Amino acid sequence: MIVGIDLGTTNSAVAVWRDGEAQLIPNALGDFLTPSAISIGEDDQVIVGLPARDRRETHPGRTATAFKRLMGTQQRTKLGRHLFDAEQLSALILGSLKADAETFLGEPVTEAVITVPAYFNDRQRKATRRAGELAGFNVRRLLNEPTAAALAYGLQDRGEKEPFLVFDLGGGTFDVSIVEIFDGIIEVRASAGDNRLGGEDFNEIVVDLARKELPADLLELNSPNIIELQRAAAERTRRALSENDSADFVITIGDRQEKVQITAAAFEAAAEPLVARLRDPVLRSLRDSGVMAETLSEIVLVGGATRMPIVRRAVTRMFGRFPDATINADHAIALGAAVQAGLLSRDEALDEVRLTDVCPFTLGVNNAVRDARGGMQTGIFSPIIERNTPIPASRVNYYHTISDNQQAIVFDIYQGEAREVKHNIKLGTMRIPVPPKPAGHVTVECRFSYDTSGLLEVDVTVPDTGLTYNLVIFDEDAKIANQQMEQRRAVLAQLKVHPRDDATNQAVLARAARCYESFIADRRELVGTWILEFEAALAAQDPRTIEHARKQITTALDHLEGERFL
Amino acid sequence: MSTAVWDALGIAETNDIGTVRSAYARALKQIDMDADPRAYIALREARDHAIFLIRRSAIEAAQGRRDKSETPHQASPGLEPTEDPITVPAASYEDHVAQLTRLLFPDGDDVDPGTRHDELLKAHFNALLTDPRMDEIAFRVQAEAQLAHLIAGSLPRSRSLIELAIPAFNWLGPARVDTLPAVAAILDHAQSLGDRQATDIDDSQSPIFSSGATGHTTGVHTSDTIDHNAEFYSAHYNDLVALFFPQDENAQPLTPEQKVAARGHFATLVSDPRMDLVGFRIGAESQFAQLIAYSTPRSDCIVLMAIDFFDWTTTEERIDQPELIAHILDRARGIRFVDAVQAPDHPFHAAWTELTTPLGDKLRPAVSVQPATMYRLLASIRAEQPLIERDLDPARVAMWDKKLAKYGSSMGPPRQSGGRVPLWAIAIGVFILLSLLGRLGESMGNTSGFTSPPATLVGSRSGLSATMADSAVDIDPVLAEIGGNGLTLGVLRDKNTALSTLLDSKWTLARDQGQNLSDFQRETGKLLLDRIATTVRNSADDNLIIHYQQERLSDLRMLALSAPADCVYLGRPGRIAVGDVPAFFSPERKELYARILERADVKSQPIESTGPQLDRAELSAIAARAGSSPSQVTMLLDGKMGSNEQQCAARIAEIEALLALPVTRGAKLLKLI
Repeated sequence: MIVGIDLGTTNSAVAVWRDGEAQLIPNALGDFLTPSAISIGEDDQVIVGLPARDRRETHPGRTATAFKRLMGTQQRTKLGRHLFDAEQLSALILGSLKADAETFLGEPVTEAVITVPAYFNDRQRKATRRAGELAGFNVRRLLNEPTAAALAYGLQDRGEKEPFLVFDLGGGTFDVSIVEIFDGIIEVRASAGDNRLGGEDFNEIVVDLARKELPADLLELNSPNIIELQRAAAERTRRALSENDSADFVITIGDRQEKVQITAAAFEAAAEPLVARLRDPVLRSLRDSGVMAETLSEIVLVGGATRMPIVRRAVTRMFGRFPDATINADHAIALGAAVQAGLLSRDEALDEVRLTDVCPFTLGVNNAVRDARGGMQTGIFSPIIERNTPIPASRVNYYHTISDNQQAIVFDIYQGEAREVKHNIKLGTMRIPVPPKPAGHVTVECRFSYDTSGLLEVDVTVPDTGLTYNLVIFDEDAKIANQQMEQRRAVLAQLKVHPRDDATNQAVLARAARCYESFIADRRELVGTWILEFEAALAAQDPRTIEHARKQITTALDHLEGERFL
Repeated sequence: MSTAVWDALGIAETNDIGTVRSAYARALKQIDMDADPRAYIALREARDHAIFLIRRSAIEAAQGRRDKSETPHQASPGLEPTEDPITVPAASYEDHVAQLTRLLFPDGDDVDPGTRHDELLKAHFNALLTDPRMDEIAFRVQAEAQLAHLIAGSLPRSRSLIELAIPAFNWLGPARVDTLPAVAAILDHAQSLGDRQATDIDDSQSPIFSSGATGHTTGVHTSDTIDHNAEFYSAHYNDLVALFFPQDENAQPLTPEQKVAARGHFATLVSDPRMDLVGFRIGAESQFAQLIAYSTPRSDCIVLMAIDFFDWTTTEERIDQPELIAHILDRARGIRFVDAVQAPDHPFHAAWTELTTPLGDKLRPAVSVQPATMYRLLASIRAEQPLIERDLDPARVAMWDKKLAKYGSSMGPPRQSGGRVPLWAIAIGVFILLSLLGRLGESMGNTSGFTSPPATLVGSRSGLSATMADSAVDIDPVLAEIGGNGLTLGVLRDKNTALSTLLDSKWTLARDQGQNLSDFQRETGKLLLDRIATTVRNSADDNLIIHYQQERLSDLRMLALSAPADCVYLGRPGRIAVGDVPAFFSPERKELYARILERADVKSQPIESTGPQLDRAELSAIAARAGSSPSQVTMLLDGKMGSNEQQCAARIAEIEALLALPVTRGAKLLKLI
C-alpha cells in the first residue's frame, strides 16, 4: 500500500486510502498528529514525537524541532554527541510514521506520497525526497500541500466547484493555491507562497514582546537553553491567546520562574507586519490565475496557524466573507496525500478523479540582452517555463551566439522570478559546443521538460551540428548527498528505537519531567512525588499496575497544566 | 490548425466552454499523465486554445467587430455555410510561399482581394505547415522568419494569417531574447484587433472608482452602506482625475495648494475600507498605476505615497514587473533626487539652483558653482535620471554645456586618484607643439585642439587591450576614421556620455569574449554609422539634414563616375556608407559626422518612414534634371528599371532638386531618402 504523509514543520501525520476513503493512522500514543520533534536519549535512543517535544524544555541540547525550515540547507543540529542534518531528522520522523503505518495495516509499507509546501524550491524538494529514501520509503510522488488540502476538500462532496482558494498557513510556511473542480478533475490554476512565514514567526513576536518585560539579568543568563525555553513558552502563550484576551508567558530556569502577561491586543499590534505579508501571495496567485477574488466560491483554511483570530480576521477582511470551516485544518493535508496515494494505486473508487498541478516557479536560463543604450547586459533571466504552467510541461526557446567564432554556449539553469539570475536559484549548468560562425548565425533550441515528480530535463539541440545534449537536473548538493546515502543511513541505523509498547509510558515520563522543570516550589515538589510513584509502578512490571498508575499521573498533570495540546 | 483542436478533444466545434471542459475531462481520464507527458501536454494545449477561441469570438461579438473573414469553421449563422471549403493542390513549402507572396503582394495597386481571399491564404498557410521538413529545427526556424516577414510586410492584407501563425510558432509563448521585429510587429497588430491570450477574463481593468460604481457587494457588507460610500469615494477620484488630466492643454503646473489637495484625495481613497478586499485592491492598484503613469509629471505629488501604499518596490528586479510600475518607480527615483537636492546643505544644491534658474539676457551664471561640480551633476542626471533634465532650464543647460566644453577632455569622468598632472596641461603642451609643427589643419573647430597621433586601423596586435583605461586606444582609431582626429573617446565622454558609455560597454564585452581587434573595430564603425544615420533621419534640425545630404551628394557624384553600382547602393534610403570602412570621407564630412555623433541618440528608435510625398511639380523638376519623364524617373528611383548609371543619375537629380527647394520643404523630403 502507498501511504500519504504530511511532513509538517510543527506536526506530521500519516494516512492511507482504504475502503473508498482516506483514513488517518494513529501513532503509538493513539494520536493522529505526531509532533515533528526528535530527541536523543541518554543511551543513544531516538525519541520521536510528543515526548521529544516535551524534552525540548528539559533537554534542549539533545532535542531538535522545526527542522523543516532547514531542509535544502547543509546546516546541522547538534543532538548530544551527534550532528544531524535536516534530512536525517526528517527521516527519523518518517521512520516513526512508517512504523505506525505498518502496525496499523499489519503489513510492510514501502511506498509513500510526501507533501511539501507549494513554494518549496527544487533543493528543498530533493531534500524531502532523500529524507523519504533514508527512512526506507520509495517516494512515489511529492505533493504540494495546498493541493493536498484541495483534494481532501474536493472529495468531501465530489461536486463541481467554481475556483476556490486554499489558504495554508503552517508552522513554517505559507502557501496559497487557487483550485477548480469539474467533472472529477481537480485542477490547480495558480500557486504562490512565502517560505519564511508561519506559526514559528508568530512565536518570535511573542518572544520579543516578553523579552521587553523580563528582568535584564535573566536575559543575560548564559544558558544555551534559554532560546529553546523561550520558543516553547511562546508557543504555549500564543495558543492561549487564541482563546483568551490575555495569557501569561512563563519561563522557568532552575528555581526561578518569571511571568509576563501578554494581552491579545498587544500581540496583534506587534504581529501586524506578519499579517500584512499574508496579502502578497494572495494577490499574486489571483493575478496569475486571472480569477477575480469576488468569484471565488470558498476560502479554505488549512494549517494550525489559521486558528489564530488575527489570521482569521485578516482573511475575512481580505475577501469580505467568512472562510470555509468544513475541513479539519490539521488533518486535511495528510488526508489529501492519502487520496493521491489512492490515485497512484489506481483504486477503483477514484476512477473518475484526476489531479493536475502547476509549476510554482519560473524556470529558465541566463541570457544576454541588449539594453536601451545598445550595450549588452549579461546575467539576465530568460524564462522558458513560466510559473503556474500546468505540469507536465515542455517548452522551448531559441538562443543564438553573441560573438563571432563563439566556441560554446553555456546554459546556467535557474528557478525564480528575479530579473537577474544572481537573485534566482541555480539548478544546474550545461556547456554546449557550437561550430565557429559569425555572431548570431548559430541558433540552438533549448527545451525544458518538467514532469509530475518535479524532475527537470533539459534538451539542447544544435541544428548546425545535428547534435542534441541532454541534462537531467541534479544539483551539487544532491550529488554529494547521494554519494553519502549509505553512510547516512548507517548513522541512523545505529540509533536505537524505543520499543513501541513502551511509547505511552515514555511520553508520560517526558511530560512529567517537563512539568517538574517548569513549575517551582510546592508544585514542583508535588510533581516530583508523582514521578516517583509512577516510576515505582514501572519497576513492578505488572501491566495493570502500570496502566492504573499512568492514568493517575496523567489526570494529575492535566489538572495542573491543562490537557496536553497538539 | 483549428480542426486539430477539436479533434484532439474529440468533439465537434462548439461555443460552450462547459462542453470543452467535459471533453477535456473525459480525455484526461483515458491517458496516463505520468507515463505519457506528451499526451497530456497536447490535450491541455488543445483545451486552452479551444477556450481561447471561444472567448475571443465572444469578445468580438460583444464589441460588434465580428470579422467577416473568420475561419470557415467558426459557427456563425449568416455566413455561407453551404460553400465548399477551399482546397489547394498539394505542393512543396516553397510553392505555397510563392502563392502566398503573390496573393499578399499583388502587382497592381487596389486589387480587389476577392471574397475568398482570406480562405485561400489560410489554406495555403495550413498546407505549407504540413511540409515534412517543418519538423526539422533549422528549416522551421528559417520558415518562421520568412513567414513572419511575409506577414508583417503585407499587413493588413495578411491579417487573417495571424491567428494561424501565432499558435503555429508559439509567438505568444515566453518572451524570447531574439524575437524577430517582424513578429513583434505582428503581435502588436494582433493586440490591436482585440486578440488576447487565454485566461479567465480579468476585468480588473474596469473602472472601480468611476462615478456611479456600486462597489463590489459581498456577503458581509450590506449594499446600502456600500452605495453611499462608493459615491463619496468616486467624488474624490474624479477630483483627482481632474487635477491630473486637465482639459486645457496649456494648463499650468499644479500649485502647492493643488498638490496638497491631490494628496488629500489620494489618502482618502486608500482609506476606503474596500481596500482590504483583495479583489478590489487588485483593480484599484491597476487603476492607480495607469492614473499616475499616464499623467506624469503632474502626478509626481502622489507618486511616493502610492509606491508606499501599494508596496511597489517589491516588484523591482522581478521579471513580472508591470511596465507602468517600472515607469513610476523610475520617476520616484527622480523625485527623491530632486527632493534631496533642494536641501541647502546638499552638495549639488547650488548647481541645481543654478540650472533651474531661467536664463536671462546675460549669458552668466546666476549662482556661483564650481565647473567640476556642475559637470558631475549634469553627467549624473544624464546617465541615471534622464527624465529630470526636463525640469531644468534648457537655455541654462546649453550655456553650461558650452562652458564645460571649453575644458575639453580634461573634464573626463571624475577620477578618484588625485595628484596626477592634469590632462589639460598635457593637452595645451601638445597643442602648442603640434601647432608649431603646423598640423592644425586636421583639428576640429570646437574642441580643444588636443590632437592624438594618427592611429592605424589595423593594430599590430589582434586582441583588445587588457585594461579598461585603454579602451580609448582601441576605439579612437574608429572615431578618427569617421569623425576626424578631433573626435576621440575622451571628447565623447564629455559631450555625449551615453554614446561613450555604450562604446565602453561594447568594448568590455568584446574584451571579455576575446574578440579580435579588427572585428571589434569594424563592428564599432558600423554601429557609429548606424547611429549617425538614425540621428539624421529622426532629426528635427533642417540644417543638419540638408548638410548631411549635401555631403552624400558629393559622394554620389564621385561614385557615379568611378563605380555606378556603389553609387546606386549608397543612394538607397538610409544608406550611409558603402561597405564597412568609410575610407573616402572628406574632412568636411568627418567634421559633420563628429558633430552628429556628439549629439547622437543612442536608443535604437524606429526610423520615421512616412512623410510628405513629392508633388507633381517637384517630380517634374527631378525628371527634367535627370533627362527623362516623371513616370520613368519614379521607376528609376525605386530601382525597378534602368542601368546602374541611369539609376545613379536619377538619385543625384533627386537630391539636387530637393536641395534646391525651400529649406523646410526640402528637409522634410530629404529626410526620407
